[in-house]
Amino acid sequence: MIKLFKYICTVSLLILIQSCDEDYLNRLPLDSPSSETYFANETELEMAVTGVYNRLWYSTQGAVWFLSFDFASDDGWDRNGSALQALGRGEQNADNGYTNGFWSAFYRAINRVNYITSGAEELRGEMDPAKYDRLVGEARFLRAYFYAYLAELYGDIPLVITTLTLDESQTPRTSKSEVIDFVLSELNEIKEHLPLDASEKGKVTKGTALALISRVALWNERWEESASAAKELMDSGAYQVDPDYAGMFTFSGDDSPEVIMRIQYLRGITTHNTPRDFLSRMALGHSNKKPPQDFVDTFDCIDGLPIDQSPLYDTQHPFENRDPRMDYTLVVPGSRLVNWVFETHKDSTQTWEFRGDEKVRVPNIEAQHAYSSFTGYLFRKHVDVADYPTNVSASDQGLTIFRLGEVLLNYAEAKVEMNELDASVYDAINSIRERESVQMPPIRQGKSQTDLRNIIRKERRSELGMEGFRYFDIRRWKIAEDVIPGLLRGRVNRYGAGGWLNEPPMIDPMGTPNYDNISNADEMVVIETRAFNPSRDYLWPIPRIELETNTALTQNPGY
Amino acid sequence: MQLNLQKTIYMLSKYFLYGFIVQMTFFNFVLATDVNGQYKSIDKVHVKIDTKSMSLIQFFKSIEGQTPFNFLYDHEKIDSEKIIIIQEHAGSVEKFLRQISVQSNLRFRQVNNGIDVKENPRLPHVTISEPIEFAEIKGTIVDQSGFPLPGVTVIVQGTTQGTISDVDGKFSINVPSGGTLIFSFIGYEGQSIEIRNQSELSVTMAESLSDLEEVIVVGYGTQKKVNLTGAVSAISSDEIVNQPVGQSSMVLQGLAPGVTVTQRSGQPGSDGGNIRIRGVGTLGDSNPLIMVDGVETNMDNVDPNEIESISVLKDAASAAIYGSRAANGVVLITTKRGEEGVHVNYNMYAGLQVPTRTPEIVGALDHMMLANEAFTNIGNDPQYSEQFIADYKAGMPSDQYPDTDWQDLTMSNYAFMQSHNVSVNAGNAKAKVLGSFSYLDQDGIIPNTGFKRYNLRFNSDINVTDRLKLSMDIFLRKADQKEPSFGTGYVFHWMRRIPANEVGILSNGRYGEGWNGDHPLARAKDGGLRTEESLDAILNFRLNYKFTDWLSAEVMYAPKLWNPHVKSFSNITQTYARDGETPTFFVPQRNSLTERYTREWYNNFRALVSIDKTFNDVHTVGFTGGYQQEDQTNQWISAYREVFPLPDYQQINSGNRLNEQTGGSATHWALQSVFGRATYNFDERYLFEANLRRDASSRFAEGNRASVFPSFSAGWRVSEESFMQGTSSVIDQLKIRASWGRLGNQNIGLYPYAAFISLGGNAQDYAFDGINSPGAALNSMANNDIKWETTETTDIGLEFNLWGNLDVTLDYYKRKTKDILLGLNIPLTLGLNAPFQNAGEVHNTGYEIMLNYRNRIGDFNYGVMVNFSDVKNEIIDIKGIENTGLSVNREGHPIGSFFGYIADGFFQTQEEVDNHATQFGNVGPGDIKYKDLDGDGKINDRDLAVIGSNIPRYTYGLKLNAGYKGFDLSVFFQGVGQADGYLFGQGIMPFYLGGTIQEQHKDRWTPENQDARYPRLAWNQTNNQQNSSFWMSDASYLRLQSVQLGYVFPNHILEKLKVQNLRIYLSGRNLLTVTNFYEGYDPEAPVSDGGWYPQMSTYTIGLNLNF
Repeated sequence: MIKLFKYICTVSLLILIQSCDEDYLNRLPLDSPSSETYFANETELEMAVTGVYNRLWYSTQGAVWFLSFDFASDDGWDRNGSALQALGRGEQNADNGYTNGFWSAFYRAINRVNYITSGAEELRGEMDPAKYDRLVGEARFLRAYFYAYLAELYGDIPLVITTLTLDESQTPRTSKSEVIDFVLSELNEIKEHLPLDASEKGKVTKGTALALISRVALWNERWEESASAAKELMDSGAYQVDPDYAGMFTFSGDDSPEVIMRIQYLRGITTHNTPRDFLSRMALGHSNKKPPQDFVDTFDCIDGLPIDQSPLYDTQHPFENRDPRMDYTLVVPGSRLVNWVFETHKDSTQTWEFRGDEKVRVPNIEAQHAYSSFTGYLFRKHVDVADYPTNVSASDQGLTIFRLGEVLLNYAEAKVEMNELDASVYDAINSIRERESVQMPPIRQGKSQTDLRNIIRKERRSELGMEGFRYFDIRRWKIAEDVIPGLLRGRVNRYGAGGWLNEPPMIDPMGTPNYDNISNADEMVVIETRAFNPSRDYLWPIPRIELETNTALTQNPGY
Repeated sequence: MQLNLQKTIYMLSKYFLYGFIVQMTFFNFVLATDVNGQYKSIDKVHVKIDTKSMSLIQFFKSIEGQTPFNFLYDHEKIDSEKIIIIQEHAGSVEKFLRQISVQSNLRFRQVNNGIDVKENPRLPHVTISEPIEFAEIKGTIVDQSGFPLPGVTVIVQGTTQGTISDVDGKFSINVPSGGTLIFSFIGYEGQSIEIRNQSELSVTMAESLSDLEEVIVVGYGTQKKVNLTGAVSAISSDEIVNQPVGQSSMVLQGLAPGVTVTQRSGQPGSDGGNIRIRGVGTLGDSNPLIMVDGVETNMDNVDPNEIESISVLKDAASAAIYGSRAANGVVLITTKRGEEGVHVNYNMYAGLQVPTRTPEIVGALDHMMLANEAFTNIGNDPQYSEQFIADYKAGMPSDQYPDTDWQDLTMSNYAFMQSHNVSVNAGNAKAKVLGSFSYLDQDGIIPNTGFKRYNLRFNSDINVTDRLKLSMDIFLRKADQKEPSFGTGYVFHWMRRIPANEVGILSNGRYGEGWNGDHPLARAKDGGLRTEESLDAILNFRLNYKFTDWLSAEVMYAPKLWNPHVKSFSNITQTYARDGETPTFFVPQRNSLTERYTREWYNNFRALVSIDKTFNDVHTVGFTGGYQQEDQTNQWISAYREVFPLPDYQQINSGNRLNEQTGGSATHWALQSVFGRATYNFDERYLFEANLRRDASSRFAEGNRASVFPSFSAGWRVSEESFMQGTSSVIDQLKIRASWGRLGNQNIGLYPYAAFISLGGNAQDYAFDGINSPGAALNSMANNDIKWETTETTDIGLEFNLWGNLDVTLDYYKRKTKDILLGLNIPLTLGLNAPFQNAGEVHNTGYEIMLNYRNRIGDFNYGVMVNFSDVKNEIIDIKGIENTGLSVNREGHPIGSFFGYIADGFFQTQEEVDNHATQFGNVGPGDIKYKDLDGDGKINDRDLAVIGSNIPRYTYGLKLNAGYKGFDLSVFFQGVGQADGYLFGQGIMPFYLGGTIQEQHKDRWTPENQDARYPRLAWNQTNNQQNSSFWMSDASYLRLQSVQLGYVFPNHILEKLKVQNLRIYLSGRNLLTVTNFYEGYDPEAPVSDGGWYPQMSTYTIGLNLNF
């Protein structure tokens, strides 16, 4: 027995000596490579670039990022008591979760690009250089894209374009114009490396780069550059105005000739819940992102006149004879949504349900439910009823982020601002107004610069509604201070009352309604009171935590 | 003490174990000697010794060789190698002894053929006893409850003759007539019985009121309690068993000062407590290290019936031997082991669980009228027309006009629970085995909720030789938890949120719509099951070799296997419109099955050497040194499919392959350590101890892997000083101790120092062309320079015993945790998750008081235990980072402090609103007013402040127990003197996001009720929903934690029943709570929106049977 014990002791000692070997403590992750050795081959580069695209899936406050902005504009409202709702009210501060989220998410995306541009260079010689340039070009495009938004939202921002160590992290703000210089020069450089048409859906192309140049340059009043990039794209012939307006925002948008790029989703991987946010409760939605009355009234009548001027406007049937884009963008009472007639008046306790060719009366949830009434309207754009019922909260329909329609309006606006009021301006505007599914009367030539400017601004609101542009437009036009403050209102919705405004509101040339003249304005549902402080709210606050961790930063005024 | 069989059994087995150890060490001179009637006196027997000088042992052997005499002496105390000089070489033994006595300062006493050798100056040099007539005495020794006591030492007074009682408590000894037998056993009061004419004795031993000889389990060993220099709380099994708790961690609640246990849920299987020892030491993982028989394990894995003792190592002196894992304290659990004899124990209880508190929700009419008020208050039209409400009232309850009590619909008022434990003990001198099987079955109060646990344990000890001991333990556990697929939080959230005017169940039996298809009953009952089946196994092999009395070595190999299997099938629940026919919302949109298998294998190898030796009677030196290495691998794989056309078949292969998903990965770590402890005490009066451990961990980069954790402590038993002799009748024991040490914390993730590329998954992939493309990204920053975070603890303690029956322990300590590994915020512009950095410092300062009073008046025993402790937690340094949110870490405040606006009552008038700083949205009279701290006329982030903390302070426990004849009663109160709780959202805010409202909210502000509990009702307004001190509530409480009334059947009944012991008891746990916390919620509520499984009261009846 003692021998046995001695034997065991010896074995133990051997184990002990053996395991004193440092290898025992070398326990690296089993499922991921070290950052030190990455970019060893082409596949690793491709995967890293894919990792940058991944950031397009950023979603905030229950909405896909680019769609969320307009809920803080005069086109929309988020009813969730969220940080986004606070932003809409002008109550944001340096701890606002919604605004801070973008800073964090976009710099994260940018760093993924910086990691590639700082580390993958050596690979260029080891693979097809054209492929290298294209892959890295896609990543650099996305970096430019995110920087353009950051600059627009925050003004001057740290321009970080290489990976930094903790010691190098105290980066001061770079002026917005320098950031934009960088963005535009990047885009101009990489566009030549990118194919005009995407070989795979969802990839960045030269078209995307041109579209982004025209957008960013326009936002920054670099009219010439905006117009020329737009022109290059228009002339390339790669994209055409889609006769089917609504189709660009459904599954069929993947094949639309007008769509330049969509964010791609895939069931089982990542989906979005836009239908859940937008659809009525009858249609299994939560209807928690809503358009106010204001947005409804901005759409002209089919004669091209605003509702306060058009003889076609009937206050008792306010949704008849209206720009078809109103119905493509919004759900208004009396219209069909999935299988039901959407009704929101408090007295409409029943509504119609379509069962095949039959129409039957059914109880109407929208009228009684505390969380379906509010403004009385819904968004329709980006929702394909094919997602009803099973995929309402898990849609993998692509979401359009670049399309020719915007580029045409960018072109027109840039030209007008340069006071180059030639026919190409009218062509650009009219080509989208006259598309088969819209057929609004064309804008006649001979308008003044001011008239055209207003026409384009209104056109952008109608054409690009709920596509994430309005929030930026009212800021760069400096009209947010006019269109945001005051009451945010929904429809007339009172027991026994008819439900409609007695008179049309006054519509200003940019399409902004004013309800001061309306005799029953006080019957309109008041959603909230918003404020806008022009000396502060044109820029978002830098996250407070960022000022604490990066002492080289300064806060935007007023925060 | 308490006449409590159960208690006795466990006390017994505990003392049996420790008794042997101690007795082997201290009473090894006690030998039963054969006796016969033919004795000669030492002065009559002559011997010759020629040698001039010899050693004592040679001398003894020489005498023993020539005479029938045997020398009896304690080898520990008598230096047998001492050289003696023989001057006269022939003569009587007595003559020789007298020579020796003078030289060696030894005293000799003849008893029959034995010669006692003692080193005691008070004895005469040589004593010769008259030949004595002996009588054989047989007897049985039992404890107060009549249970046989094995291992009791029986000595004939004035001699070294003795014996030890056997497993049945029986003994037999030859006693001279008129002699006195002394009975002694650790933990029991000694007894002496004079022998006259009896030949049969029945001895009842009374449990000792003081526990001087108590032995406490400490790191890698045991120590006598009186010799401890660290702060250790010991909890014996009798305080644990019979408590109707599903999870063992809950038994610690309130029992030991400085140990705070908080139960945040009552869900079967998840109703364990969070254990915090002496505050919250770090901003990271602050769970203590839990060791069960030397293997790190989750405490809740052990059934309370299996536990022999628990030691809580609170200060650095006691915990430092666990080095890098000990910073948050250590809990050592020892399981029961086999003893000699064969017996069977059966313990069971069964009873009901009842929620402690549930909120009361208003009915449909109240909901609508109050909602109308909330609309009207903000200037909107009422939501429900008067006509509608009138119709509603007339038509209620019906499908069209429902009045649903969602809680009543979903939840039953009580749930069943039972526990059974059978243990079989078999043992003899060579081998001892204890087999124990435990079964726990706990139902839930909502459908498809419950927990079952099966524990099987075989602890065996084999004495291969006298010196070589082998222990083999096998522990197997199967735990099955089930809950609705969406979790119980979902179910409780919605049953407290959906208004009563939504339909629960339609008259045709279908589910009503609930809230967009969210329906607590439908989801709980028909929404599919999430089951977690855990299989655990621990094997524990130990080989112990005793080289000499004072030197032993042990090797241990104890691997652990953990094999959880999680399976969640989420079924679609269809809800219907009020017509009963139209399908409306259904949740989820697809049925799906997720399954995940994990395998975790943990290797634990350890080698120990122990030395324990006393020199010259007064210098006791102890040393324990060891080497340990541990490594663990965790592997998991998961599978997912959705769309099961036949939802009854819930296996992966039955689902549609279209969106099948798999996952899987593996992690590993290793730790290598050497450690040691040295103790020295002088005469058990001056005590010193030093511990040292060096840990090297795979979690750090090479170069920073190892760290050394030392501790030093000292104690002075003042009561052992001669100047204290005069006061010994009052102050029985008095010890002052102090300790200092440094500890580490390695629970910081597995690879914190390195940056690795994340491959694939939702955060890296993208879909091109409708196909998923795997992506890669660097997401976290590396920091190679990180090193161990260390905690330094200084502790001063005072222990004394008054009048022999009041034990008092006082401790004051300071814990400073430095270099806390924090994911300190870094500029977001870096675009990476923050690396760990050694930053941050947290201090915990506190004191602990423990009073234990025991007394006996005739047959009546009683005891009082009081403990009280406080800890002040403060973040000293967090590098100036001020994060925000409801829970923040701020310098100068406790960890996780609540952060919000300071509510300053309600606005009473519009004028007040107008004159006050601008608040949030539509503000009117009756809304919460916030303090404008910076005075800028706006309530904004600059007006946020630290408003409270939910770290409990002033925790206390009070335990009263009493026993009379066969009855025993124990009553245990426990509480927290100061803590803040916080609820938000649907949990407490009226009409939050369209939710309903509780009865307590009717005490709302109106112009007529300005002194209201809650603000005015304001639909969809955010002013009152801000994080503020208004929603923070006093979460201090006093709780009647347990009451137990037991009865032990008397012997004459037991004999008829042919059982050795039988006790029945009634027990209640968590019976009554006094608190100012929100109505309807337990003060231990998690910070939440009300969606959690409530804490439970339990009422049980139990049985302890022994045969």
